[in-house]
Amino acid sequence: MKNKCWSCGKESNKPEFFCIHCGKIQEGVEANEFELFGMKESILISIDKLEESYLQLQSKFHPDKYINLSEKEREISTIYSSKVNEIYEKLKNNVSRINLILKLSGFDNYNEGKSFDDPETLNEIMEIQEEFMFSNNLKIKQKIKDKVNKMIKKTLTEIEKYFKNNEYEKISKNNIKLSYLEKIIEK
Amino acid sequence: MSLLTIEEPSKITKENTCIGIDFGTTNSVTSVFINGEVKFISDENDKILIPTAISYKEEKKKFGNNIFENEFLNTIYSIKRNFVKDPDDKLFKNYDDIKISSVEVAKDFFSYLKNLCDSYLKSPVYDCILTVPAYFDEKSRSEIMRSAFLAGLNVRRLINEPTAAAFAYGLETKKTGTFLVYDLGGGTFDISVLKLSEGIFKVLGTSGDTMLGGDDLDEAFAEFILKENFNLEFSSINAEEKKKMLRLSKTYKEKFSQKENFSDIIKVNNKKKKINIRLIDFNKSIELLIERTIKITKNLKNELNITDDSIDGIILVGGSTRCQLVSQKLKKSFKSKLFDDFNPDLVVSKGAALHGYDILNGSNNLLLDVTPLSLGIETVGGLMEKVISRNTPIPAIKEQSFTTFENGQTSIKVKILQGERETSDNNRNLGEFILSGLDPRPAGIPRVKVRFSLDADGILLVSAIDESTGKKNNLVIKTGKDIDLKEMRRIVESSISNAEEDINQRMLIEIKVKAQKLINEIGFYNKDIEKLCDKKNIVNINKIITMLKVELNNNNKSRIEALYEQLNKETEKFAQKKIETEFSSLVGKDAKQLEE
Repeated sequence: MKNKCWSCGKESNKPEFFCIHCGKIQEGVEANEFELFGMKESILISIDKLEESYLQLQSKFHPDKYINLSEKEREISTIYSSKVNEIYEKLKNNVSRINLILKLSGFDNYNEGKSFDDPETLNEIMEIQEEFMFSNNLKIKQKIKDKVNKMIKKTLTEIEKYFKNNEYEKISKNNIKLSYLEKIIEK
Repeated sequence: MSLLTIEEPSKITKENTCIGIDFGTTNSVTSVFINGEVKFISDENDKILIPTAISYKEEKKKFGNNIFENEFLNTIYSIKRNFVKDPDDKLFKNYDDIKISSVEVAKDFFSYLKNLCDSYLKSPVYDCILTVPAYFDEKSRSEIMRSAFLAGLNVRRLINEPTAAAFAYGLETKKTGTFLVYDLGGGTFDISVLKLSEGIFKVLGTSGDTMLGGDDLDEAFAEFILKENFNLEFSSINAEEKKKMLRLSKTYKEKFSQKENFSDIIKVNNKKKKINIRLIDFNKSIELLIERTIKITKNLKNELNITDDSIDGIILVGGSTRCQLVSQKLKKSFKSKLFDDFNPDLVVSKGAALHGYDILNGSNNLLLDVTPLSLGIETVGGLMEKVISRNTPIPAIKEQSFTTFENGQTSIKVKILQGERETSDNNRNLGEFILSGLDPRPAGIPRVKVRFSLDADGILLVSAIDESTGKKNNLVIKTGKDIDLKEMRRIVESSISNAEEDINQRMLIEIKVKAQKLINEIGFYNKDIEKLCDKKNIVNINKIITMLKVELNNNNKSRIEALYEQLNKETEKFAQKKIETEFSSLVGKDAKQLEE
C-alpha cells in the first residue's frame, strides 16, 4: 500500500529514490541532509567529501540525465536536483550547516527574537569590521582577513566542543558570532 | 585554424541527432556531432560562419551570406540585441509590409538555419541545443527560446555560451583546473569561472554586460573617425549615414589583423575625404570599453574569492577577442596564461553540439551551471526582496510565503523582478501575476506559498499554493496572456511525432500556438466576457473552446484552423465591447511579505 511505484505499481518496504522493481525515479522521497551526502552529522566537514558526494548526486539526479524520459520524470529530477543544490550550499557554509544541525537536534527556533547578549565580543567584532571597511591598504586588509579567519577557526573548534557535550544553547550563541565574523570578510 | 573540410555524412546513424546552434549577434554557427566528430554545417555558399542578417526586400526573404554587401541598408543586423530590450516590439517590416517583432525575425532566421541542417543531414532535424549569453536575463532567454520553437526546433536545452565553449575546450584538451572564460562577442560580454575535472564542468560564477560587444567597438571607432576627420558627432548624423559608418568601422576593424595602417576615401554628409585608418587610434577609442570588461572580471573574481594563483588559464571566446587590445589588457591585469588556440567563433556551437549528443544519447559528462542574476519580488516601498541569489546553481527551487494586506482581500499581486539593484525600478520587471480565489479572511491570516522554480535551462516558472486551504487549484496565476514555454515545448514535441512532413509540422506548430494563445487570452478575460457578452455568445465561445481543445490533442491541423477562425469571429464582439467599455483594473492588492 505504501511506497507504490507510480509507473509499475509494485511496492517497496521503504521509500526509495528509484523503484527497486522497474528503476523509475520516485516522487517525494525525503532524506536527512547529511545522510544524503553520505556524511555524519558534524560541525566540521570535509569539503572534498562534500564536493565528491555532490557530483555523484547530480550525476544521478540532474535533469540532463532525464531529457529523453517522460515529462513527469523530468519534473521529478528537477525537484531532486534543486534539492541537492540547496543542501550542497547549506552544508558548504559554516553558519547554515550549524543551523541545520541545531534544527535536526530540535533547536530550530531557539534564536528567534533574541539578540546577541555578549557586548564585549560584539564590540570587538564591530571594531574589526570598521577597521576593515575603512582601510584602503590591501596589506592591512589582508592582515585583518587573516585575523578574522583565525577567529572563525577558533569559534568553530569551540562549537565542535559544545556539540560533543550537547550544549546546544552555546552552539547557537557562538553560531551568531560566527555569522558576524563571516560577514566581515564576505566581500 | 586551418580550413574545415565539410563532408557529406556517409550514413545516418541510429543515434539521436541534435544540432548545436550558436545564434550570435554578428554571426551564427550550427554544428552536429555525427559519426564520432563535430561537423560544422555550411550554407549555400559553403560558408560556416553565417552572418545573422535578414533582408525582407524584393518580396522575398534573404539570409546570411546571400545578402550582398551593397544591400546592407535594407538588412536587419544584430537582431539578438533586441532581445535585451523588448523582443515583442514590432520594429520591423517583412516583405508583405506587415510589421513584425524581433521574435518573428529571429524565427525566420532559425527556420533558415534549420533548413540548412535538414539538407545537410538529408532528413529533417528537430532537436537542438541553443546557446545564449550567460548574462542574459529571464525575458531574453525565454523569448529566444520561443523564436526557435516557432521555427519548429525542439530546444532540448538552453546553455550559456561561455559554458558551451568551456565544455568543448575541456573535452578536447582534457585540461583540468579552474578557468576563466572571457567571451566577447558581437553584442555581449560574458565572463564565467569554471572548474574542470574529468568530464565534469562546474560553473562557479558568471557575470557580464549584455550591451558590450563588437557592435559597441564599431560604434566607438566610428565616433572617433567622424570627430577626427569631419568634426561631426556620431549622434548628429542620420540613421542611414550611421548604418554606413558602422559597416565601415567594422570592415576597418577586421582589416587590422593584416595591416596596422591604411587609408580610405569616404563620404559623409556629401563631403568626400581621404582618411588614415590607424590601429593605434582604434585601440584608443575602444580602450574604455575593454577596461570595463576587465573591471567586471576583477569584480567577479573578488566576489568568488578567487586569487590569480588559483586560476589555471583564461580561455578566449567570441570574435571580438581577436582585437589585439583584449589580450594586451588581460595579460597586464591577470597573471594567468591566455588560451586562444581554439577558433573563437566556432567553439560555442561545437560545445552545444557535443552536449546535445551527450544528453540525448547518454554520457558520464556532467554540466553544472548557475543563474547569472538574482530573482526576487517587489515588497512594500518598491524594494526588491531576493528569493534566488545570483550564482545559485541551477536547477533551483525556492519558496516564499505571502499574506494579505486588507481584510477580506481575495487576491494578491506579486511583481517578479530580476537584477542586483536595491530598488525595483532599477531591475528588470519580469511581470506581475495575480493570485486570485483566496477565501475572504481578516488581513494577515491567509498563507500563500509562492514557488520560484528555475529549471536547468535557466527558465523561471512560478506557481503558488494556498496554504490555509491546501488547495492548489483554486488559485489562478496570471503572468500574462502568452503561452508559457512548457506549453510551447509540449506543442512542438507533439507536432514532431504527428506531422508527416517537416513543412506540415511547422504549420501545425504555428496554428497550435495561435489557438492556444487565443484560448489563454479568453481565459484571462473570462470575467469581462461574462459581463460584456450575451448568453448565447458565451455558450458558443465555450463550445468552440471545448472542441478546439480536443482537436489540439488530435493534432488535426485543418480542424484546428477552422475552429480557430470560428473562435476568433465569436470573440470579435467581445473585443469591440472591451475597447468601448472602460473596464477597471483586474489587479489585486499588493502582496505583503511574511517575515520568515
